Amino acid sequence: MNTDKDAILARFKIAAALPPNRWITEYPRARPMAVFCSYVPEEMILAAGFAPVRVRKQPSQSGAWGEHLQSYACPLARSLLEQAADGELAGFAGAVFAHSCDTMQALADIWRMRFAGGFAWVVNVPTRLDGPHAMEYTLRELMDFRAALEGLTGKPIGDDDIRAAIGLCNRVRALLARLDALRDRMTNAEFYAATLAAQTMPREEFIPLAESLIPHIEAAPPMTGRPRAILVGAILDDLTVPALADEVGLHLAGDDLCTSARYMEGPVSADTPPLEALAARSLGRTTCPAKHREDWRRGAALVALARQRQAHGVIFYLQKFCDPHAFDYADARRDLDAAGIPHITLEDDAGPATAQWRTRLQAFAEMLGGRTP
Amino acid sequence: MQWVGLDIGSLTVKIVVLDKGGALVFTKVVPSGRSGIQAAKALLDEVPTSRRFVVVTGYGRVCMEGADLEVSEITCHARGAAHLYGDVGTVIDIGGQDSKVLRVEPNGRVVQFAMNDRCAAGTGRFLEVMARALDVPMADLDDLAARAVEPVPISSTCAVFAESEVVGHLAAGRRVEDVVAGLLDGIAARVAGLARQVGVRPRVVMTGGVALNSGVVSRLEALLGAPISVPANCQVVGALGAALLGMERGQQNGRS
Repeated sequence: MNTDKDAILARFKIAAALPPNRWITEYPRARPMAVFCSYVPEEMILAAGFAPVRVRKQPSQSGAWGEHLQSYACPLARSLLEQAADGELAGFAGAVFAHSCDTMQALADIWRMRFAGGFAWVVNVPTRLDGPHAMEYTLRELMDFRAALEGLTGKPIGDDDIRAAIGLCNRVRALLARLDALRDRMTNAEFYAATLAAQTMPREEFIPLAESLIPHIEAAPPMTGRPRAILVGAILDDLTVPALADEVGLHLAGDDLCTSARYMEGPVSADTPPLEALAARSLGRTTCPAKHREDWRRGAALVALARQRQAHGVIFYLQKFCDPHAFDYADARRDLDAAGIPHITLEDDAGPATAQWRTRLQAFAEMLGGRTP
Repeated sequence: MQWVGLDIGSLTVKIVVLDKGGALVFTKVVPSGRSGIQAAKALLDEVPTSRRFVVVTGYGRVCMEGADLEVSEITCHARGAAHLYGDVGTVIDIGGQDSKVLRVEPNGRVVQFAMNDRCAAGTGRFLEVMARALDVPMADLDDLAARAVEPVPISSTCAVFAESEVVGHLAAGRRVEDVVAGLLDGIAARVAGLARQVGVRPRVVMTGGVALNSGVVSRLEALLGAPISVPANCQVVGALGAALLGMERGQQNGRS
C-alpha cells in the first residue's frame, strides 16, 4: 500500500467521485449494497457480507425518472431512480432505504414495483425519536431487517457477526472524527473526499488508508486566517462546494450533513446487545430534519455548533424540493439571525451551479473576512 | 498609478478608471457580446498606461487573466454605493443575470445579502426576453408601462413560462402597455421578496442596468415603503467599487 499522503488523498478523491457503475471494477473483491440514508444501519449490511455503498446524486442523463416521479420530487430521488432505471446499479445486491421523508418512502415503493424481484428494503426509523415506543419499534425494525438479509443470503447473521461489523464501523467513525478534529490542516476538498470515500470504499480498504493519512495531516501546520463557516444540509453529492470554498479562501470548520457529521457520529456501544446498541445510536444521534425530538431545536443546535467551531457564518446547502430541510430552514435562519450569525443559502437541483455558488461563497468569504469569532 | 475597476457582466462590461487621488478619469459601458472577456480587454486597451492596478468583478471575473485582484460583485456594489451615498443601508442591484439585495454598513461593508436563485426571474435578462416577445425596444418599456390602464398580472416567474404567458395575453387581445406594466409589477415583487429576506434599512440605493427603468424603481419604492436613490451612472457602481477597493489595497501595499 502506498502510504504517501498525496497518493492516499488521490485514492479518496477517486472513491468520492466514483459513479456506481464503476464500483465493481474498482473494488472487485466485494459485493456492493446500495444505501441511500445515514439512518440505514450499515453494520447489518456488513454482517450479511455486503459492502454498503452510499449512492448519491449523479449528473442527469436519461430522464428515466420521469416515468414515475413528478419534476417537483427532490433531485436526489429523481437521480437515484434514474440511475437504477439506466442500469447504473447493475451488480449491486440490492438497495436499502430508510424512512426519512415521504419522498424517499414513495421512491422505495416505486422501486419495489419497478424493479420487482430485486432486493429493496426500507428500514423504518420512528419520526418521533423520543416517543415511548421508539426503542421497541426500532428494535423490531432491525430484527426484520436482519431476517430480510438472512433471506437474501440464505445464511444466519449472528450477534457476533454484527458485533464485528460494529467494531469495523466504529473504527471508521473514529478515524473520520480524528480527521474532523484536524480539518484546519486540510483543504475542504481533502476532508470531504475522505468522508465520502469512507461511505463508498469497502471499509476494510478505507481504514488502513485513513490510518496512514492521519500522521501526515497531524504533521501539517494549521492553515490560519481563513474565515470559518459551518456547512449545513442533506447530502454532499461531490466535492464542488468544498472545492469552491477552498478557491475563495473559506474554511469549512464543521458541518451538519447526512454524509459527514451525522454519518460519523458514534460510536455504537460494544457493551450492550448489538441490535439494542444500533437502535440506541439511531435514536440518539443528531436529529435529521426528517425526524423530531421534543428537546431538539435545529436552529439552537446550529448556533451551538457555530460557536463551538468558532465559525463566523453558516452555509445552507439545500436540495431543491427537500421539504424537511426547507421546514427547518425558516426557524434555523431566525435563530441564527438572533444570535448574530450570518448565513447564506446555496440551492442544488440536478447538478452544481458552479459560477453562481462561487459568487455567493466568495462574497460570503469577503463579508466574513473582517469578523472575529 | 491609475486604479481600474472592471465589471464583466453577462449583458454589459463596465470600466471605471480613477487617478492616483481617486478622481474619476474615465468610465464606459459596452455590450458583453459573444465574449465579455474580449470586450473587457478592448476596454482596457482604451486605458493607455502601464501603471495601473486592475480589479476585476462580475461573472466574467474568474476568466479574466492579468488582473491584480478579483473581488465578488456583491462587495464591489456595496463599496461603490457607500462611496456615492455615505448613509447607505441597503443596496439593490438588478443586473443582467441576477438580482441581489445587500444590507450594508455606511462604510460599505456587507453584513447580509440575498440573491435570486438560478432562474432568470427578476433580472435584466428577464426584461430583455420579455421585450423581445413583445417586439418593443427595452428602452420603451418604461413609457409603455406608464400608459397602462389595466395591468395584466403575469403569474409565471420563470422567464420561459412568462414569455408563453405574454404571447397568450397578446393573442387574447390585451394591450401591450398593460402587459408591460404587469411584467414590471412581477419583477418588482420578486426583488422586494429578496429585500425582505435581508431586511431593508434606509438609505436604499439601486444599482445595475435595471435601475434605469423608473417603472421598476417606483414599484419597488411602493412595495418597500421607502424611497430609492438611483445614482446617475447606476450601471458602473460595481466597477467603481472595484476601482476603490483596488485603490485601498494598493495604498495598503505602498503602491501609489
